[in-house]
Amino acid sequence: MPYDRSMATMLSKLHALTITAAEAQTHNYYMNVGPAFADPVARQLYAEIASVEEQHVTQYESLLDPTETWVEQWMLHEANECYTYYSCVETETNHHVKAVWERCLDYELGHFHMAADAFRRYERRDPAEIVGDFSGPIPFRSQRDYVRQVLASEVDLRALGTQFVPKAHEDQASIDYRRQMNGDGSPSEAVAAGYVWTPGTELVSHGAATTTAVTTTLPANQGGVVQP
Amino acid sequence: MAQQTEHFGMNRTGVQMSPIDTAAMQGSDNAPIRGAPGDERALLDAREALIMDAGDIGSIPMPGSVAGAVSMGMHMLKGDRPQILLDKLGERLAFERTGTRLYDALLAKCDVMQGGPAGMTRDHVAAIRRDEARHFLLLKDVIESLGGDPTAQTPSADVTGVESLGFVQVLNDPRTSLAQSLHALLTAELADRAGWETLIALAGEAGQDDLVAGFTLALEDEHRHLVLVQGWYHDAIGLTPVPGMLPPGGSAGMPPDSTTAPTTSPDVTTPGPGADI
Repeated sequence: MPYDRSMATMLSKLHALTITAAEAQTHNYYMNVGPAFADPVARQLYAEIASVEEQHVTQYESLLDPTETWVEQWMLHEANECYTYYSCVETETNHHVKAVWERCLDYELGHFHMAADAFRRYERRDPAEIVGDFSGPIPFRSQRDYVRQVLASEVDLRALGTQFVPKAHEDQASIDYRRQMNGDGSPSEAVAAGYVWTPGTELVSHGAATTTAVTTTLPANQGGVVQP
Repeated sequence: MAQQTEHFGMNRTGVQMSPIDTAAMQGSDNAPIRGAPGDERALLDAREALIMDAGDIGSIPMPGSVAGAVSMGMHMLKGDRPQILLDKLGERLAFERTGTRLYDALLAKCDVMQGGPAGMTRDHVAAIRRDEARHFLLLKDVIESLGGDPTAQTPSADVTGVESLGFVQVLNDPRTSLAQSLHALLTAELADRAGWETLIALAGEAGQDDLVAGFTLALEDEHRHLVLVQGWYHDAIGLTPVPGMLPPGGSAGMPPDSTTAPTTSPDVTTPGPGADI
């Protein structure tokens, strides 16, 4: 369900915009870069990931209230850019990079005021209805522990309509879709199978064994087991 | 401006910079799973199927003129394989075009960078650049004389273009030093020499003695380039010349009128007389 534009706090709206923008950009990345590879396996992998990213875009943009007016959306977009650059300014310690964020923030503040003027003029509304105080910037720092915790607790969640449910209650439509789409296997599984991150790449752990020899002489990785 | 010598800095790409996180990454305590189950068989199967099913990279164009078609037909009647020769001529044409541009890029660096390798003057670089451009024009004439179209991209020209992408990236990166640029050019010159050797063998097999003679002259140019570039490269990284390897600016490697070039006083900043860039 989307947020309610008259009830949701500003930061909830901005967070929904941020995640939608991030997913849209990730989708664009995979769609743009994938076709540049000559390796068809890499192309397939990127096409698969792009398809998943497209689902994410759809999912997250569904959080946005479609009854927001265009000028309201515009103003929120500009506010979001200000908020994100402000967060970069607050977090960055390198003064060269910080100066870049400050300049971008200045530009976006100019854009925001232009949008806010349009909001006043064309909608006859006060921008303070939509934007106001917020608790603090986005903390840009390591989120490894949080990501691991989410992964551990949510990896087995599945979708049932708009709900997230345990694996056992997964929507049959999702199962049928995957069975059809991945009938011949999926590129991501082919690429990832047996892969274990090793400093210095897999040659360090596999030594001089060729790719083919690896599959015939080393036991298949069962997952959760670090190859010798 | 690019550093002329490699230096120690804030490089954190190695695992030794972060031993605690590296151990955590390799441990299984705080990760739900280490690695994905399975082996590389599915990946190999996918590649094999795709290779079996793949098409070709382009084709050799049919002659676009009557004279060209007659010339090509005559060669084929004699049992020659003009398509192989034309493909490889197209490859060398593409490579010499890129080679010319690589030396253009090196000249741009020479004009602004101080302290280049001993013996490497702007004149020397410009002379090699002229050789590459001359080879390009030689190949254009040869392809036309065989009834081919020198503006067509043959399959091997396409592939060599992809191979050469890295050279173009390295030479045109404003951060690369002269030593790094010369390393890329050394690799390119090694490939160029091998390419001319192949072309001479193909022309010889086809009984094209006049082509063999012209290509042999080009190969001699490439030998000179290789010796020069290797010498400059070694000097640029501070390597002392060893016996058997010509010193930078050695006479065997000199372009015309450069046999008196200094071997110790680098002069890469002043455009030399006669430079054609």
